[in-house]
Formats: sequence, C-alpha cells, structure tokens
Amino acid sequence: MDYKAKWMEGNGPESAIVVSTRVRVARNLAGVPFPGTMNEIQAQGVIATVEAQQGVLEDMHVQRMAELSQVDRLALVEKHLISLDLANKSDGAVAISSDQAVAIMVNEEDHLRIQCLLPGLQLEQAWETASRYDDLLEAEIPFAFHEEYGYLTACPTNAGTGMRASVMLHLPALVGSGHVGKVLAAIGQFGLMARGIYGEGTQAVGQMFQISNQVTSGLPEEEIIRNLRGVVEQIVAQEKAHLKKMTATSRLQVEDRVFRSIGLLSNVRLLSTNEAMSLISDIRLGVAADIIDLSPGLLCQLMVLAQPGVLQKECTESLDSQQRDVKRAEILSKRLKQALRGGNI
Amino acid sequence: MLCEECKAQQATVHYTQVVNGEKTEMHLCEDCAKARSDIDILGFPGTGFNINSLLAGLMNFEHGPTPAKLRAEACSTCGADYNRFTQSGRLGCADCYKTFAKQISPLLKRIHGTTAHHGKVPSKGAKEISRKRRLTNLKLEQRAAVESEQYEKAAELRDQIRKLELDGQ
Repeated sequence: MDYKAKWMEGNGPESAIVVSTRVRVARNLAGVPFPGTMNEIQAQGVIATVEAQQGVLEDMHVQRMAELSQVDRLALVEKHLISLDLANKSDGAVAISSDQAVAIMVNEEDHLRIQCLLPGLQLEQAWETASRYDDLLEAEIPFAFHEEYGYLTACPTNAGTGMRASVMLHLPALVGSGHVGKVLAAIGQFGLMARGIYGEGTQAVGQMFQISNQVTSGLPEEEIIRNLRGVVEQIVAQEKAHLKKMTATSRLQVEDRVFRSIGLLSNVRLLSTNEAMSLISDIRLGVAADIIDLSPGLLCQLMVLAQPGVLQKECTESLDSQQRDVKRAEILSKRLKQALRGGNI
Repeated sequence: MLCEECKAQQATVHYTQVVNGEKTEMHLCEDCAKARSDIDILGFPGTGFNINSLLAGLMNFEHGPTPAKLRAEACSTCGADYNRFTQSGRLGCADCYKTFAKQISPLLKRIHGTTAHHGKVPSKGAKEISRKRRLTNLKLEQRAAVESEQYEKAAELRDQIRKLELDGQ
C-alpha cells in the first residue's frame, strides 16, 4: 500500500491551516456483546461478518491485525487510519478504501468505527461519506439501536449518533502570541473539546491541535457538524489575523525562522521525529503567511514520513533509533530539495 | 547495539521506565520486547488515567459509592456486572443499557444534556420506530381523553391505536 493516505494530499479548503478533517461513526452489531466482553469466537465472527460484505464495500480491503507486522500496524497508526488501541489488538481488523479516505476499524472499542479522513476543512463531505458506508453496512447487518438513546456504544460518551467529527489545525501564530490557551478553553462552552497532538501530555509538538465534538447525542449529526464548522472557521480567522499581525510587526524574524528551518531540513544528516515536526511546523507557517510557495500536501507527507513506522516501511527494513535518524534526514531533505527545485518557491 | 536479553538481534526498542523517580533503561529487540508483558510496545504502559476512569469517577460523584448489591448486579445477556462498568467506563453489551437503565439514563443526561437521540435512525427500523413513537403518543392522548371524560375522542383514538397495532403485526 502506498504511504499516502487521502488526507495527505493537502488540497482541501483552508489547507494552509486546516491539516485534515475526520468524521467517524461508532456502530455495534445487534446481539453480539461489545468487544470488551466478547470472546475470541465472537470477535472472529464480527470480522467474518465484515469480510462477507466485500461486495457491498466496493473497493475496500480488509486486513486482520494478526496478519500485519508491528511496523505495518504502526504505519497505519501514523497515517491516522487506525488507533493505537486497535494496533495492539490481535483480534482486530481494518477495512481501508483504495484511496485511503475511508477506514473501518473492526473490534476496537466498538465493533465498527467507520471513519472518513479528508484533507483540509471538509466536514460535510466527510460526514456524507462515512454515513454512506454506514448505510451500506446497515442494509446488511442490523446494528444495536435504542429508540430513545439512539445507537448504542460500549462507552456512553459515544451513544446517540455515535459520531465524532474532528479537525486538525496548525496554529503557530496563536501559539506564538500566547492566545491559543484562551481560544481553546473557550470552545468548551460550545460542546466541543480541544487537545494538542503529536507529543505527550500537555506539550503539543508541531503546534498541531485537534478540535472535536464532545457531545454525541441530542442533536442531529448535521447540526453537530455545523457547530463544529462555525467554531473552526472562527479559529482559522483568528489564526489568520495573528499571522498578519506577526508578519506586519516582525516580517524579518518570521522569514528568518521559515528559511532557517528550510535550510536545516534540506541539509541535516541526523533528524529525530520531534525535530522534524518542529521544522515542518515552521515551514508550514511560511506557507500560511505567504512567505513561500510549497504545497500543504508535501508538508503533510513529510510529517508522516518523519514517523518511525512509515519511515521503516519506506526503507523496507527494520532500523534502530540512530539508523532511523539518518534515514529520516536523508528522505526528508531529499523530498524537500526536490520540491524546492521544482521552482515553486 | 545488541538486545540485552537474547544478545543475538539488534536492539530496536529503547525503553525508559521511571517508577518513583527511579529510572531504568532497556534496549531490546522487537521479539524480546513483545514477549515482555510489562512493555506495551506500541503504546505507553497503562497509567490508568483515561476517559473511562474519568467517567467512572463521575458515576461515583453522581450517586456516591455504589451499594454492594448494585455492584454485584450482572447483565443477564453478557454477564458484565455494574462494578465492571464503574471501573472501566464501558458497558458489556447493548442490553446493559436496559439492565442498568436507572443508572445509565441520568449519566447520559449528564454527558449529553439529554437522553433523547435526534439524529440518524437505521433505515430498516425507521418506519417501526416512528410507528412506536406515534403509538406511545396516541396512548397518552387516549388516557387524557378518558380522564377528561371525552369518550367520543377516546373511542376514535382507540380505533387509531388498534390500526397501528395491527400494522406492527
């Protein structure tokens, strides 16, 4: 499978700031205990049920976790197609569409997690796609549904619509101006939540944040999505305003930061994942501030290539930590130099 | 660097564990790391803090410590007991929503602000769900009509209810 997932094309609306959009719906098969309590035979039964829908699932390919190597599973996590939880489960599986925009996780926390990932801000499109796959499966498999509560999920926090929509944002100007905390804290009032991604605990690496709906019941899916979209558009506008202010007051410093990172990333010999993420973040800032002309897609791809699993798959060999730093430097600098030579700077 | 355990393969897993301020480092090959149950090779060792434990805390906060009798009550379909739910934050099966309805209903309200789903319904069941919703409403109306001695209206409603009930058979 190609290392490029659909969202990594980076060509959606607002893609200089909005990296990707994801919508997932949680569904469980009626009459089968949830993955946390079911036995091995039932787990295999759920996978077999999904495999039997091959005709309905168009171009999707089902892969069992037990049949994938550790590196393959890690690479799927890094491409955001499966969760770390699923990667660690031997009785799990995933069905992935040929363009890698749709991934259905099987036997994660719920029997099915139907997700659609698209580049840029495309919440409605991602919901429509996920919902269409939900319809296709639902026509064949009865799902656990309660007249009052809606779709039933292992965790009550997902019950109702079973839908979680999220948007990944790159917010260097809001981080730089110190306003990001205030903005992210305010969104809790809209039934949404925010978290830093890439990095552990509270420290967000690469200035990436994920905004998603917290409440999954009481509103129709379209309304939940409209709320999220409204708030994300506000944050994007805020980020743009801070970018403008930043470049107006200290253009030279911003340019220096961007070109310094380009210089480093094109010439390093040893590169850790975290350093790569921070350099790519600076270059992305240059794209958002119209300082350089590079495609957001290239930056998404570099970001994913910087991760250990995808990197090892690209090299088709298992590498230790230092070998990875060498290869990471080699691959990322080569790709960046190619893009720069392409004359789009 | 060779794996510290088998001393044969290259060490590709470099694991640092800090327990009570004491740091231990291990350099293992993938196979040896996989064989060790204390290392979660893809993730982080369980710290026990996640959304589920948070949810469990919320449950205890709502109702106080769970009475022993309720703790031991188990779902007849999947066998999962209430204690498991308060600890993991996850229900065992769809029927647990019915078994523990008394506890789940207020919890759903606390999480989502409501228990009523207003979104998509399964297309196969959509007709049936709207029939049942209508039936419940008609029965309520019928009772109100009887109570206010509007017997003609009650008879009309009774006929509608019969018709709807026949549709369902």
